[in-house]
Amino acid sequence: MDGSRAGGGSGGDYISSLLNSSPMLDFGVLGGAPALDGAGDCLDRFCGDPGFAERAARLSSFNGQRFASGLLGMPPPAPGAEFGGGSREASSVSDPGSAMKDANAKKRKAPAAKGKAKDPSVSTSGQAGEQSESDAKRCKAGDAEKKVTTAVKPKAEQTGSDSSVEDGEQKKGKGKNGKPVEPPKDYVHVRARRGQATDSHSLAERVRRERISQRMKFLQDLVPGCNKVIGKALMLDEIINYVQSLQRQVEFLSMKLATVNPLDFSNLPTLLHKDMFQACGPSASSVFSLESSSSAFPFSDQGDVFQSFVPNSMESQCTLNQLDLALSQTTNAQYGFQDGTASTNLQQQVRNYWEDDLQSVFHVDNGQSHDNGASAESFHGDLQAGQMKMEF
Amino acid sequence: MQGPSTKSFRQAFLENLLVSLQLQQEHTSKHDSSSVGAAMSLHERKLAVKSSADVAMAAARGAGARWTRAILAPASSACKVQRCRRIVIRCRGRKRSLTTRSARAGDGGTSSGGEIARRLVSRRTMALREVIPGGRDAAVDEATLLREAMDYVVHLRAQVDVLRQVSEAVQRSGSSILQVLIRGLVAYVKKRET
Repeated sequence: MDGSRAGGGSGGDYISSLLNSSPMLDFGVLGGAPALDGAGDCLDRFCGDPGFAERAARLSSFNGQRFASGLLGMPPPAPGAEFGGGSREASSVSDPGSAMKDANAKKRKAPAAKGKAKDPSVSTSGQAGEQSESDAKRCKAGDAEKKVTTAVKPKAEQTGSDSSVEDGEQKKGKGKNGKPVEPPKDYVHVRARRGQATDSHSLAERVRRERISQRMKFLQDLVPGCNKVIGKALMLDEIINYVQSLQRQVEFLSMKLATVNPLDFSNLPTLLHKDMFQACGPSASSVFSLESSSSAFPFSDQGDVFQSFVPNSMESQCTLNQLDLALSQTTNAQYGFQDGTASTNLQQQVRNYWEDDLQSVFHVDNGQSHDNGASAESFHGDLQAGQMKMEF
Repeated sequence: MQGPSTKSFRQAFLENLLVSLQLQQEHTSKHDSSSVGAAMSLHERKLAVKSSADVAMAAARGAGARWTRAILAPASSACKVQRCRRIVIRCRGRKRSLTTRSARAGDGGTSSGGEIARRLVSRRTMALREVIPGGRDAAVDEATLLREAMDYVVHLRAQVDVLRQVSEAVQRSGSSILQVLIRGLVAYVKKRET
């Protein structure tokens, strides 16, 4: 199932890194000085509008941090590469127009290739006429600077969220996307729609919708078999089915575990002692070689390592020596494993779960749990233990 | 399909499973004093294992997600409060279903494609809320719900893997769950050291 592993921390870190990484993906790449110089050139060419820089600054301060690299780092290579020499000679008005058209064509998923192929030929011939036509199409509010800002927007960074936004709209099927050529007013990672650009509410809603569609994409990667499905409703359906099937598997497996043997933990210390006395064969080094011989980390295999335990029960029982030493020093219910404090915290949570339900009369345990809770809080500031203590 | 690395989670989950199973055992044996050590019914045992596994998973996940709180919280209350909570949840669920039903009924003939899609999506979002622990909370908006779902799926899958391996090992070796878990944990610790 989870065959390949990405190196790194826990699942929570992974997911937050996933969510944070995608908009920032290209920023580091083109942050160098040459890009900035190129950006300066392009800006000079593109901006017929003197107030552009000021308006750009205002718009981008809406989402502050990603502004600089996003704005200056991204655009120049793409438009420069696309246009070649031809469009540079055109007027500043037509340049943003073709840049926009090119950008829009690039962003469409389906006609992307077609758009790119078309554009060079288009831009060289009959530019002016087409520019005016497309300008007329796009110009509802008739803001020149808005067109310019779209030209300078970071393209590569947006393609990920672009397509997701396109998806979101197509999925939702709302009627906003009336025009065929639609210049989303990007700035750093907030895109304002035409006609509602500066409305804070709609911008916030755009942000929210983008976030949702981004998360849907991640879920699509997580849930197997979701790649073919397009559409929010169908994907949600798949996700729900998957979660339910996983939960059913947990139930089934727990039933299986329950059938195998009685849950009898009362003779744990004796069990361990018996194991210890029975066999103290080869030393722990053989256990190490056993481990290294197994292909991977024990539980990343599909239970293969457990196979190796069976014929080598002697060795593993020998290692139980060390475990039992730790055990004998703690109380019955607390297993001090070698990575001590963290596991104690988690065990503490588990203990809290059960003991409060018990309304335990074991004052010793409660006292200990309080102590451990205090130490846990000092160790992990925001860990659950503290909150759970409050709830009592 | 690749997934995130859940090694540390698996180890923590295993430890918690051990502790949780044992505590569950203590719990049941203390509550009904008449049946100390007596065999519970299969269903009860299964419930015990399942709840232990869920608690272990939630505890192993740590404080980073909402669903962990939703799993761990209900046990800390008394039975009466739990009943109240269940009632509240049922009411909330009924209210939501009522609103969707009325929206559906009051639709009449004016149902464009977009509206139908939106209705489907909202119905499924609600269904997702039912499935994901902690999703029933009204304070959870759609984006958070999706993120919770992601997190939950990852850890649920790890839980299923661990449980499957444990049950296979138990079947194969014939020893008790306890021995299998301990051996597995020792192996983990050893592996970590090297």
